[in-house]
Amino acid sequence: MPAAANFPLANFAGTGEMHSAPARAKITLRAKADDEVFLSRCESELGFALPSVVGQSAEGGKPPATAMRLGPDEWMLWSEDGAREEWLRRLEKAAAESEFAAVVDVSDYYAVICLRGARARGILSAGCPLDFSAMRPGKCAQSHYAQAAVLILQCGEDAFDVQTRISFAPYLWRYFQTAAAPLL
Amino acid sequence: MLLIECPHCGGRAQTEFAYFGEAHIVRPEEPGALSDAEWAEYLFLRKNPKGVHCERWMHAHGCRRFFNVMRDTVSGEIFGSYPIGGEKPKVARGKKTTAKTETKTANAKTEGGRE
Ligand SMILES: [Zn+2]
Repeated sequence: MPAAANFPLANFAGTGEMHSAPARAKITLRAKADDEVFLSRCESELGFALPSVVGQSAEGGKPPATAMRLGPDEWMLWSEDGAREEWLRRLEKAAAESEFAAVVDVSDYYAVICLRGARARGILSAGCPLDFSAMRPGKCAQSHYAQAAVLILQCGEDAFDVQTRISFAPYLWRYFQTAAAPLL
Repeated sequence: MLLIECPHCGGRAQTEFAYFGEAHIVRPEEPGALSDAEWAEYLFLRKNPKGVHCERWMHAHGCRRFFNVMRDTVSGEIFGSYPIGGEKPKVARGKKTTAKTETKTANAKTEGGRE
């Protein structure tokens, strides 16, 4: 990951923190929603079914992976950095029979900033129109934070992972810091 | 601000969407057979009604899908979203699922959410 997206840990006066996620594998999956062959082959490769509802995530597999459904024909898979090649190989195999399916490595295209703690919702609400009081662990949504397009996964009660295009990461990081200041 | 129902993602703030003008404009089968006036009408002339309007929106910051919305251009009231090629919703005024001026929750406000 370029240095621009490696931020020091920021601590919010004991009420939480944010840090840039260590490099992780990010793979975009595109296929028709009714492509049963693709869906079942993905399930056997992943070890768990791709989420069937937009805005829902599912996790499992070896190496551990998280799949988020972004739209009717789009999923995002996150896994550990070292698993990139293996997941690409296995998912390309799953897509091989499908006329309209794509598996694309976007690991270096995006950065992920992790927000943790009781202040996370307030920081997110400062720049994003999503209703975080209604969001639950395991849910994901694409939206915008100020001017940056984001994908947000709620990975715990007070834990959110925010993915953005890597050149937007410093902007998002500074915006989060500014948003956190009045909450301290 | 409008609260727009994406057929795939649910109700979202207007800032997540891009507007693409009047819906149900069909490209002529044989453009070469049209007069300049007819072609200009297809390209440029729109109803621009004061009242109920069918329009295309795209969930630009979400699933990036196009869909149609039926909306009152005076009040901003939305009567429903429907897929391209799908059936238009009924015009039922004063329903709960209409345009809202506020999309943030009270909860987010008390947590210190700023615009
Ligand atoms: Zn959507």
